[in-house]
Amino acid sequence: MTLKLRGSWLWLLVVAVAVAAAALTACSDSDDDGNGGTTDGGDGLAADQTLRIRLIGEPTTLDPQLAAFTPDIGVVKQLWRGLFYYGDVDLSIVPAAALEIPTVENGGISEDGLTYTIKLRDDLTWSDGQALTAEDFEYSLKRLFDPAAGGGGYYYSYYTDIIGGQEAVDGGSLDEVSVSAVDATTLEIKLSQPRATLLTLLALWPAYPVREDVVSTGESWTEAGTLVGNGPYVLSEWAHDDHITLTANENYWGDDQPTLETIDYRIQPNEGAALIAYDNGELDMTPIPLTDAARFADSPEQIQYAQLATLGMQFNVTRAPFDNVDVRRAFTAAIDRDTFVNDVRGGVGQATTSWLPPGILGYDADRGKDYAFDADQAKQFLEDAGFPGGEGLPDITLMVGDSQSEALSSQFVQEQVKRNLGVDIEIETLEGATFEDRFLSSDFQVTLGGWSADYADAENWLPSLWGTEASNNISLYSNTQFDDLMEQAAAELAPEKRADLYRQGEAILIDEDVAFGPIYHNVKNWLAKPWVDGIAFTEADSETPGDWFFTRVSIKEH
Amino acid sequence: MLTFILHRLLWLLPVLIAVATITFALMHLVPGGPWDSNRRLPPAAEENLNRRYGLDKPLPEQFIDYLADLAQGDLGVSYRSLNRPVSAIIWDGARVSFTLGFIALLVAVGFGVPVGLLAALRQNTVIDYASVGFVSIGASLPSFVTGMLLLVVFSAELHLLPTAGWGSFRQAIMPVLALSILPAAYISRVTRASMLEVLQQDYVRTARAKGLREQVIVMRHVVRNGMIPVLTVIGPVAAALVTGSFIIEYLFSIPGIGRTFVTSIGARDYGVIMGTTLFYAFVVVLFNLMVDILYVFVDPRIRYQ
Repeated sequence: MTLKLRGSWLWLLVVAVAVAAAALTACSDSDDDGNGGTTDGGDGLAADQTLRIRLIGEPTTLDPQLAAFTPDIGVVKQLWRGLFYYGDVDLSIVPAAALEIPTVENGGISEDGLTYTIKLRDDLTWSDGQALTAEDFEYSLKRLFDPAAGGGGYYYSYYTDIIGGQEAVDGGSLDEVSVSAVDATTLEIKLSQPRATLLTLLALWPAYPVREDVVSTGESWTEAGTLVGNGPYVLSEWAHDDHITLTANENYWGDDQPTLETIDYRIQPNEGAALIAYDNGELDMTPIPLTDAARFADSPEQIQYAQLATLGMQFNVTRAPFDNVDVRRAFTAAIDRDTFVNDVRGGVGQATTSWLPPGILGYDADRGKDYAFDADQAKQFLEDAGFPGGEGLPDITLMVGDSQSEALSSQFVQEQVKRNLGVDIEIETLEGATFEDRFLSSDFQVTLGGWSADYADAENWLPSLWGTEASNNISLYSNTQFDDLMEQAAAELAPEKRADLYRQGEAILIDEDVAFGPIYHNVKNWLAKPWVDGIAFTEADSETPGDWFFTRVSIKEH
Repeated sequence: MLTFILHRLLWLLPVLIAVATITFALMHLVPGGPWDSNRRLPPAAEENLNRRYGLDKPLPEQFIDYLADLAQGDLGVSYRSLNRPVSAIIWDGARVSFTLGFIALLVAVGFGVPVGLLAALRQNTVIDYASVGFVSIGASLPSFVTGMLLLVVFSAELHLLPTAGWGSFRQAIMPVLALSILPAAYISRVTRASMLEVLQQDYVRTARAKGLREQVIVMRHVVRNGMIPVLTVIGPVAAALVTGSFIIEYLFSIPGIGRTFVTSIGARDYGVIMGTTLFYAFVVVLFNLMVDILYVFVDPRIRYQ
């Protein structure tokens, strides 16, 4: 007996029709807002000059004095220009808001190197048209040390050679910070000791100018509509957790005028989905996930370039057995770095035995060569340490966080140590913040750590990370000879002498003391559509290749 | 009925306080803090931050301060989205997750109930087996797998749908589908079981004996009575859907509150953790209340004093 069940069949039919209708609408246009089209924007440029980039996550803040994570810094760099900037991919320093590079000859730097008198351009404007003067720079640099602003961030500590800076962070008066606007176009900075890298530091984001009346509007001054910068782009939209849209600044005074009209950052935490979005034509630039490295190895759309970054085994040199230098030697020599780069990193990376990466003055290509991979040598070191064949070694735990790459890397290290030294080590995997907590309190024997440069100078790699009681000395390393060299280098202005002092310091750190077991230097691996023209990548890019020079990028017609 | 509702709403207060206390305690028991990252903050900076946000005070004092602010409607600010008000974060995220979840709920119910009903009415026929088969597959596939499959097929291979983001109808299709399959399977299974039970009841046999048309019997008697267990199930399902799924929001890059909630835990973003947990508790209580009210309309035997 057939039953007419009109009610539920009807329901099903309605749902089916709705789904079909949706599918049909979906079929009608296959490509999401594709870039340009075939209309000529002149000179082979596309009519729609929009660059769509994948951003790994929501920026924590767009306040330059507080920007710390790579998405923050990457976006901040488009919205502001400081006194100086990088001139080209060689990271040479050129004037930006400043009129010229201050030198002893032109009176910009005093003879003793303690007073900088920086002349500004007289055509500086904010993005809303108001004039930008030295007073704005005075306010911003002082703000860097304000406990309620930059004094709660990571980077003010690079600028504490400025007299009054540290005192202000500790609660002293901001008026005592010796940065002052002599007149509308002259800024004077006084240091407690000469600093060779001051101009570079003034090219970085913590020294970017913000306007007092904008900041005073309240905590949400960094939202689109209130944020005012002086850079080539303006923040026109910030849909939190979703996307950030920058548009070209009509009131940009700089010589590096942008061709791009819009930069569209799409926040996509999952890099696999971002890759599909790239394939689908929704993104113009995206990173290549580690697991897909082989697939794009020969692709013309691949951009692969070295980064100023080093990763390897970070020892707690005060905890057994890594308080024994020969044990550290043994572990460092037991790692087959080439296989690591090829198998674990998909060929993306540069094996190394050096702490400093190539490109940093003071880098020595022979650094750490005594600890290049050699299983027999490694066993010998272990014997020298008093643990022949691993006998007598305490339990060893390699502590890592819970990311996929840390899992792969730690398993590789465990296997190498087993195979080449005959030693069994445990892997302890911790949840992200739990790991960081233990890491920052140096509560581990050995972990996988490293460093990524804030700027291209050995000063960023050595004293604050390995100096006795230095704020970032996680390994608890201490060597007075090293400290002396660092002190000398800090006061030295001649580049060659500085480089040599840092080179000597690194020799102690790595060749003598093996405080760190380097494995590889990071290499950035991204994809960019063929119509994206002019990407100028550097070793110090934050998040996206070429993000120091987006003003050089244009979209070709396609 | 009104007293009943009022009574339930009054219970919200002790529930929320209990949730707040437990969450606050757990949050601070777990190692790590909001300022942790892979490099050390200069010590003066950490002091400045802790002082500014009241994190240097003893924990009980922090908790009382939090409750006092909460009573005035101030949920504090986020640390990971520096100084952004927690209420704004919840409002922005919840709007998105709610829309996504609500559409997914409609699809899940709109699909699950008729399928379950059909299977019950045509028990032990091909239709029944097919629907049970669909249910088994749907209930066993994790939403991450379904989501990835949809992405690969419709975005990567066929280039029909956009992979990510939220805002347009086309962007909603895959997340809704991925989100609704599991609840649809579950609802369909409960519906089928419930309807089968009702079909055995005496009053259905009476109705048939009286000569009523089958369609009338089904629509007026079977469905309405069989819906009660289904409603019980829809309540928590709706609450879960509407408060956002981390996996779907992560996979499809949807700026919803599910994603915010999970990432705030990893980031030890105390204000957001407290705010979202309290919000979730509120939603669960509310939805359970709504389901209880719906009972009155569905089953005349149920009355509240």
